[in-house]
Amino acid sequence: MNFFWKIVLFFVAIRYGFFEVVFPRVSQWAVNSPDLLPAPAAAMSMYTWLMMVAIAIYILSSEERIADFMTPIHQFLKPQTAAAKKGMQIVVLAAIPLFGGWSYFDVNSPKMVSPTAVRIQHPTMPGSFEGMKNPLRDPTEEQVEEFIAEQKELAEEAAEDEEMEPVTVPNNIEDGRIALVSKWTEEGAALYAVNCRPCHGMQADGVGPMAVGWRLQPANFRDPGTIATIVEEYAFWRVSKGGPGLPSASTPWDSAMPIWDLDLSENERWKILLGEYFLAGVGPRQTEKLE
Amino acid sequence: MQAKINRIDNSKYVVRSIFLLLFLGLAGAVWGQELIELPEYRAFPIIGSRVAVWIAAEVHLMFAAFVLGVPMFAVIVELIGVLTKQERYDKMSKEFTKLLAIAMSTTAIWGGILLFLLLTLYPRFMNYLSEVFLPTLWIYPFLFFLEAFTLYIYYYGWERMKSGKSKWFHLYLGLQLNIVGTVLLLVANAWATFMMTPGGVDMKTGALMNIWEVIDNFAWWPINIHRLIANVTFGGAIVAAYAAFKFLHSSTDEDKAHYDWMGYVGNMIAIWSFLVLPFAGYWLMRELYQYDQTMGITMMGGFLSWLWIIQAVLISSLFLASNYYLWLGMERIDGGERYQKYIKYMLSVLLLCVWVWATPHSLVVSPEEVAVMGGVHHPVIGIFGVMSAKMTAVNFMILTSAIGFMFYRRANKVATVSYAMPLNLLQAGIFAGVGAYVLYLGVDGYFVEPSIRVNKYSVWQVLAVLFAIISTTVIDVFLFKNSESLGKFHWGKMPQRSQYILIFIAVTFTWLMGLMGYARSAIRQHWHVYKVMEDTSVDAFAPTLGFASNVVSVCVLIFLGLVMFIFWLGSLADPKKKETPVVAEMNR
Repeated sequence: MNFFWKIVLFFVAIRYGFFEVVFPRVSQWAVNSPDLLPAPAAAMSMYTWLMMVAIAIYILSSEERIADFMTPIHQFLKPQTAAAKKGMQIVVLAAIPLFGGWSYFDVNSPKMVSPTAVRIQHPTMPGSFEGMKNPLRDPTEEQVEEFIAEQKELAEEAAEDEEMEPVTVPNNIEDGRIALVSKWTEEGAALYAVNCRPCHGMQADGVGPMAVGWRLQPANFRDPGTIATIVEEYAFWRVSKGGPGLPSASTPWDSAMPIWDLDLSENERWKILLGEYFLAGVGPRQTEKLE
Repeated sequence: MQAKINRIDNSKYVVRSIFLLLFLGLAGAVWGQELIELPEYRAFPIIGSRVAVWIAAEVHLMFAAFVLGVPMFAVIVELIGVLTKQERYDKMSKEFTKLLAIAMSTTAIWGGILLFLLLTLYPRFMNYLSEVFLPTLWIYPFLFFLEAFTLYIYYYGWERMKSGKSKWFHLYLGLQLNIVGTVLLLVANAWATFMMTPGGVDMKTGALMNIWEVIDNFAWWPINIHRLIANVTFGGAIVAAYAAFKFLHSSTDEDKAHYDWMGYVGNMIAIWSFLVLPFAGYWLMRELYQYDQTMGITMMGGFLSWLWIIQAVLISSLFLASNYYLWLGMERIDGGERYQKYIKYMLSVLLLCVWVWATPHSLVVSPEEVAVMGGVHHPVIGIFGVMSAKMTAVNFMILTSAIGFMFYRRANKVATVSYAMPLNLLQAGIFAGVGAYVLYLGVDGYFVEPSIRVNKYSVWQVLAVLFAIISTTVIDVFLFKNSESLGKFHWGKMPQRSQYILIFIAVTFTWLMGLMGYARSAIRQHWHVYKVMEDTSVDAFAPTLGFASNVVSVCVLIFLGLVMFIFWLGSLADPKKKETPVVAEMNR
C-alpha cells in the first residue's frame, strides 16, 4: 500500500472506526449506560480538525513524504487512455465539486435543529457570599462545652434507662469538637437525604430517583470538577439561592435547583453541606494561605 | 429733605448693588465651580471609550513587550559574538537592535495615545490613580528618557564601539538598557496589578495608606515574572518573523543563510522561554486564587473559562508549529534523516495531548446530546476537562518537544565515546521515568484534594519535566564530546513553508497575548480598581468572548501592520553593498 492510501486509511480508521464505532461502545460499557455514548458533535469536529492538521504536518514534514503523497494524485490526474481509469477519473473529478456543493448546501440550508449551548461551569458568586465560612466545621469552645454537658446528661439518662443506647461522653474539648462535628455531619446527611437525595442521589453522584426526570442531569458531587473544586461558601450560595439565583449573564442556565433559603434555615443549609461533602467523599476547596 | 430722600434712594441702590454683586459673585463661583468639576467619564465616538482605550493599551503593550524583550537576547547574542569572536553574532545582534530603535518610537507614540485617551475619557479614574501613584508618575518619564537615550547610543554607537575596550562599554550599555527597561516594566506593572489586586489603600475609601504596599501589591511579582518571560518569548517570535520576512525576500544564498539562521535563533529563544511560561502563568493564577477565591473561580471556571479552551488550542498550535519547524530544520542537516522515523510517534503524542488539553469540562452540546449524555459532561471525555488531565497533557507536550530538540541537536553527530550506549540508555530511562511519573501524578490527581493537586502535584510534575530537560542536556555534553560529524548545517536550505511557520508562530503569540490580556483585565469585572473603585460608566459589564476576540484581532492586525511597516523601514537602511560573506563561518 502506498503512502497516500496509508494516510487515507489512517484517517478513516480513527475518525470513523474509532470515534464512530469503538468509542461510543466503550463509553457505554464504561458507565453502564443504556444508550451508545458518542462524543458530542462539537468535540468531534474539533478532534477531526486537529487530526487533519496533524496529518498535514506529517505529510509536509519532509520533501520525500510530500512526493510520496502527491505521486498517486499526480498519476491519477494524468490523461488516461484505459476506459476504466478514464471513467474513474471522471467520476472522482465530478464527485469532488458535487460533494463540496452538497456540504455547503447541507451546512447552510435551514433546518429544525436545537441550538447548541455553551455552559459556564462556575458562574461568578455574589460578593455577599464571599468570605463566608461554615460555622459548623469549627465549633466554638462554648458550643463544645454545651455539647459535652448534653452528652453527660444523656449518658446519665442512658445509664438509668435500659432501653436507651449507651452514650459516649468526650474526654476533652478536642474530642468533643470532633464528636460535635460528626453529629452535625450526620444531621446534615439526614437533611440531605430528605431534601437533596431525590435528585443528587444518596451517594451524591447525581443519579437520585428523580434524576431521570430532568433534562439536565443533577450535578455529580463525586466529579472532582464540581463541589471539590469550589470553596464552601460557593456551594452555600448555590444551595441557598438555587437556579433562580444564578446571575443573568451567561443564561440560559437550565437549572431546576430550588431556592433553599426559603425552606431551610442558615444552620440547616450549612449542615447539609457538611453531609453532602461527606457523602461525596470529598472536601471543599481550601482557601490558599495569603502570604 | 430731598437730599435725605436722595441719600436713602442712593443707599438703597448701593444695597441693591451689593446684593447684585454678591449674587453675581456667588453665581460666578458656582458656575466657575461647575467649570472645573471633572466629569466622571467622556464618550469616545463610534467605538466607545472602553474599546478605544483597550486598543491603545493593547497595541502599546505589544510594542512595549517587543522593545523590552529583544534587548535581553540582543545583548546575550552580542556577548556570545565577543566571546566566540564570530562576526555573525554581532551582525545579528545589531540587526535585532535596528528593529528596536524604530519600534521604540512607535511604543512611545502608542503610550502617548493611551495616556491622552485615559486622561480625556476616564478623568475621575485617572485622577484617583495619579493621586495614589504620584511618585511613580514622576520617575517614569525620567526612566523612559534614560531607556530611549541608552538605546540610541547603543545602536548608533555600534560601529564606533566595535572593538577593544569600547566593545565592553558597548556591552555595558546593553546591560543598562535591560536594567532600565526592566525597571520601567516593574513600574507600569504596579499600575496594572494595583487595579486587579489593590493593596496599600483603605479598601472602603480608597485613601492612600502606604505607597510601597500599593506598588508591591499581591499580583505585582507574579505579573512581573510572567511578563518578563513573555516579553522574551514575544521578542524572539517577532524577530523570527522578521527573519522569515527577510528570508522570503532574499535573492542570494548568503542572505538566505543569514536569515534562516536568524529565524532559527529567534524561534529557539521564543520556544525555550515559552516552555517556562506556563509555569509562570500557573504561579500567577495560584496567587490570584490566594488573593480572592472568587476571582480565581471566575477566571478558571466562570465566564472566562472558555478562554482557556481557546488558549489551549492556540498553545497547542504553537507546540505543533514549533515542532514542525524543528523537523523541517532537520532536513537541512546532514545526518538528520536518521531521526525522521520518530516524527510520527512524537506527532501522535502531541495530537493526543492536544485533544486532551482542548477538551472542555462542560462540552458544547445540543439538547439532543444532553438528553443522551444526561448532562453537558460526557462520562468519558469529560474526564479530560479537569486540571489533572490538562497539566499532564501540557507536561507531555513539553517532554515531547524536548525530545524533538534533542534529536535536532544531535542530527549531524555520532557519539564516539566508549560509554555512549549507557548514556543513551540513561537518557531514554530519564524520559521514560519522568513520563511515567507525570502520568501517575496526573491520574492520582483525580483522587486528591484540590490543594494537593494545585500546590504539590502540579509543581512536582513541572519539576520532573525540568529535571528531564536539564539532565538530558547535560548528558549530551558528555555524550557528544569529540563526536564525529556527519556533515554540516546547510543554512538557507529551508523550504519556504518553514518561514510561514515562523510568521504563524509570531501571529499566534500576538493573538494569545492579547487574549490573555483581556482575561487579566476582565477579571476585575465592574471595577476599575477591584473592590475599591467601581466602574459606573456605560461599559461596566464584561464583554462577551466573541466581542473580545474581535477587538483583540483588530489589535493584532494593527500591531502586525505597523510591524510590517517597521520591517520595511528597516530594509530602507540596509546597505546596498553586500556585506562580508558569513556563510562559510556559519556552516562551520
